[in-house]
Amino acid sequence: MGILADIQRHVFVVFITYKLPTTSRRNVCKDCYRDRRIVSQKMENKKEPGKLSISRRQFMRGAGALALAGAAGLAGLNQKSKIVLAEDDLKMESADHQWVLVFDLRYCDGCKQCTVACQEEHYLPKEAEWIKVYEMEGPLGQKYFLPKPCQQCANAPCVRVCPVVATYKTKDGVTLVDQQKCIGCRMCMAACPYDSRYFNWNDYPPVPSTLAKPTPEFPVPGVKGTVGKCEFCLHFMRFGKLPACVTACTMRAVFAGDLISDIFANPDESKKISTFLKENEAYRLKEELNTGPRVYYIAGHGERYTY
Amino acid sequence: MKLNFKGLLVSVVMVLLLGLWFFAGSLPVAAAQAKSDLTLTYEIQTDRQGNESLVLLAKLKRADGYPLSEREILYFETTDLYGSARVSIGSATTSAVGVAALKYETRQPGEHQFTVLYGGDETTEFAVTNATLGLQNLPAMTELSPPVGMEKISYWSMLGVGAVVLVIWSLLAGVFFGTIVGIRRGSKGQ
Amino acid sequence: MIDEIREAAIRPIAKPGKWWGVLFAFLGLFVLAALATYVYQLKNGLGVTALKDGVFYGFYMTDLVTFIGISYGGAVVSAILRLTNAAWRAPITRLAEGMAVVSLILGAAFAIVDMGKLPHLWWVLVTPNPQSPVIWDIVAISTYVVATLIFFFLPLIPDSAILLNGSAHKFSSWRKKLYSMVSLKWKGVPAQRKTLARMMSLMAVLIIPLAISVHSVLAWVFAVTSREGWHSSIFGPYFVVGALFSGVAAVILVVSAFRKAYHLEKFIGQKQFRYMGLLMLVLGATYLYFTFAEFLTEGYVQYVNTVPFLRSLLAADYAPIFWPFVIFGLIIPILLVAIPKTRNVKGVTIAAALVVAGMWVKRFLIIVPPLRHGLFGITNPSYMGNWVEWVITLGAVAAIPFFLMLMFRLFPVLPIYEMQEIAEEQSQLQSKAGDAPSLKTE
Repeated sequence: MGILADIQRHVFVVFITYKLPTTSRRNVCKDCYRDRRIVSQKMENKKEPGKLSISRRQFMRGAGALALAGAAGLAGLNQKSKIVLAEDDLKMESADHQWVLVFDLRYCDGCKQCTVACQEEHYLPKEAEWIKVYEMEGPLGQKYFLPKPCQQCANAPCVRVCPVVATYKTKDGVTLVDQQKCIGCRMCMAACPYDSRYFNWNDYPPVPSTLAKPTPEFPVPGVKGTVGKCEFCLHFMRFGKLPACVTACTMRAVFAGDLISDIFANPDESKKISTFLKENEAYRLKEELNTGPRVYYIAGHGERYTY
Repeated sequence: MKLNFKGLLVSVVMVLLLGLWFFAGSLPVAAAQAKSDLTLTYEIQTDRQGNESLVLLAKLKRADGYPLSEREILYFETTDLYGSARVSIGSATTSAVGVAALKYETRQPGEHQFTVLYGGDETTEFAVTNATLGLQNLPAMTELSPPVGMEKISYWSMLGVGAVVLVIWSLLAGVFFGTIVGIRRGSKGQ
Repeated sequence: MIDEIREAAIRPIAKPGKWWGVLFAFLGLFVLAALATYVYQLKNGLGVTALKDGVFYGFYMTDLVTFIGISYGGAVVSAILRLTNAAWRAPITRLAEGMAVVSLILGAAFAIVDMGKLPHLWWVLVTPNPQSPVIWDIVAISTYVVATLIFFFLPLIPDSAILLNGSAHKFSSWRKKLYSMVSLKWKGVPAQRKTLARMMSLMAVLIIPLAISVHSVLAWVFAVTSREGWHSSIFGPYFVVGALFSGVAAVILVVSAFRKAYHLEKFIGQKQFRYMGLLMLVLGATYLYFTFAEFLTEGYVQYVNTVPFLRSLLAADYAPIFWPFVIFGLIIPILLVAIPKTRNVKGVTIAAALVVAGMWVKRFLIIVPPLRHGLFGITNPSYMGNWVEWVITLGAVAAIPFFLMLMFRLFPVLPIYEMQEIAEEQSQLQSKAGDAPSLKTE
């Protein structure tokens, strides 16, 4: 079962700050994970209520295989007893992807469609804004808008302070929250320098019954009493689709990309990250805090958008 | 009046020849355009400070081998990250020997699909070339998650504090059990 | 003499008085109300409190820090005064240690009350993260609870024996069993006395770094974040001094209350109050100095994120709470103790009450204003706690006398053995110096 696999993975890894980016907690295959809505609908149509969808022999085989795997896992645990700190180099160069978001503030008009789309995609309550749009004032009084999702810091303070390692970095650079482990102490909310974490104070709003069970990559519906936050729409990004905020931006000011292949894109165009960011003097928020955020901003005050 | 038929014929022919010459001059030069030949290679160059960079070299020459200089070459790369697309990665101008050089950065060694494009001008044809280059020995890019530098300090201070905690726990256990044992033993020695 | 002490200590156990039941029931109502409210909060989630995403730490964190801070009175009286050989501490050690045990456990309970998803707490045992201040908290507080319980238990060994054997009073059988178990066959022989003395001295030495670490770790829960108003290096020492300060004040309050209720004036006299008051004065002056130093360094540099918070605290919306705290919670208690005319039981008790209330307010002012005037220049809505948090807080405040009353129906309110031991020490010293031995306090 999921909990046993978790214990196997963790019980001898004392100082763990990231875990493998699998959804092994639920036995969800890659296709189900992607087309979770479609497949769960299919599964509902297929299964007869009250009947197992697999035969007894298959079940016994599966249980036996699981027991063997469990024993093997326990035996192989010694290799996993490694001490990992929050500051450790996570060898992200060897990953397949390193997701980034780029906000071109020359085009942002503060319409908050990104916020609305994110809330719709994740069925969030009205007061939870996983991407917030701040109205900021520059040094000469110019007003500009700053959309701020979770910065997915490489050296994340939230990961460092979580007492149960409920929040962790995946290999593709995204900080996730496992709401089955979160004890709701809100220490991560205190430690986040960007105010990017949100607490599920009350019951989650109702979600459609076709949604699959929540995972850290798509924590919907959220667990009451735990912390939720922007997860870079991994359920889109990992399968070649753009996050909700990128698709919804009416001014095409948001891009999603991958540092490894050095490309980012929005629904209209694709560009090369390193050239674009260098040419346009991209910056990150609170660089002095050494958090290594993965969200870049091109300075501007909305001067380029036209209606 | 006697008409100078010979003179008239000569002037008409001359007018016709003149018109033909002008006419021929206004004909599009397509017929006279040269084909151009565009190839793409790469190399790793080192500048005077010793910094390496990977450069995509596009060689543009006429079909007869004459190198074309001062022409703009557009570079594209084909990516399949969010669906297949040709992403513009920059442009460069050919040098006197007909070679355009564009610095290119990537973290992924191996095959990359490039497209180079020359728009053509009055004398030379438009040319586009697709090339798949296997890039090796890439110069290093900025680290994605550079080590913060506090790792050793954090590690050893955690171990140190853990050792202190264990010492304190053993002292407390010693006091508790030592008291029980000591006082019980003391009562026996009466 | 020892018989007098013993009788005075046993009286609350055997015959507490008519008012005991009434007061116990009255306090019990508050405690029950708090428990019921907590069950309601458990079922419906933390959303029933006034906490929101802007101000996500409020009364519960304030209570956590305050109650654990109050427990430091036990460490001061039992450990620090023991190591400095202050003989006047003799009659109040049991009251101080008892209060320390009760308020420490209540404080630790607030950490549970503040948790969003309690059923997941077992993950702390499976995958703890040693870099997390919450884990430091859990380790430090649980170690300190064990140490305080041991420290409370050690002098009970001879006292239980004295209760059992020396008194003419008949105890019920379960009490006899309890006392005989706790007394560990204490016979008062020199070997046992030596063991006990050595263990108590060792605990006294051990509990001081533990006490310092517990409140430092509580402070670092706030100070290791990058929020202005929290991220300050003074927070560790600040919280420790604040805890010692409020702890001494709480000891004064508890001693004063039980002295009056159980008629212990003969044993706990003006001397105890005067010296505890002076201790409170020194700690209060230090706390005032730390507060000034903290705001001076923040206010002088005027970071863009600090100014809104500092302004709101010193001059705007929280000023009507902050300045009264400084005057009534710090200056007036210091004056009450400093002026010799008011340095008596009544004056010191009033000062202590002001201090304990004031320190709760001060910790609220440490936690909430930096969250209200937060990052990116956002001002979050005002937070004052709603009925859930008020009821639970008041219930916990009532729970301290509630459990203390229960405790001193079980164990003697005066540390009989310690008083005897210290009196013997004093008489030895005085006979060496040639004065007549005296056990009476003035």
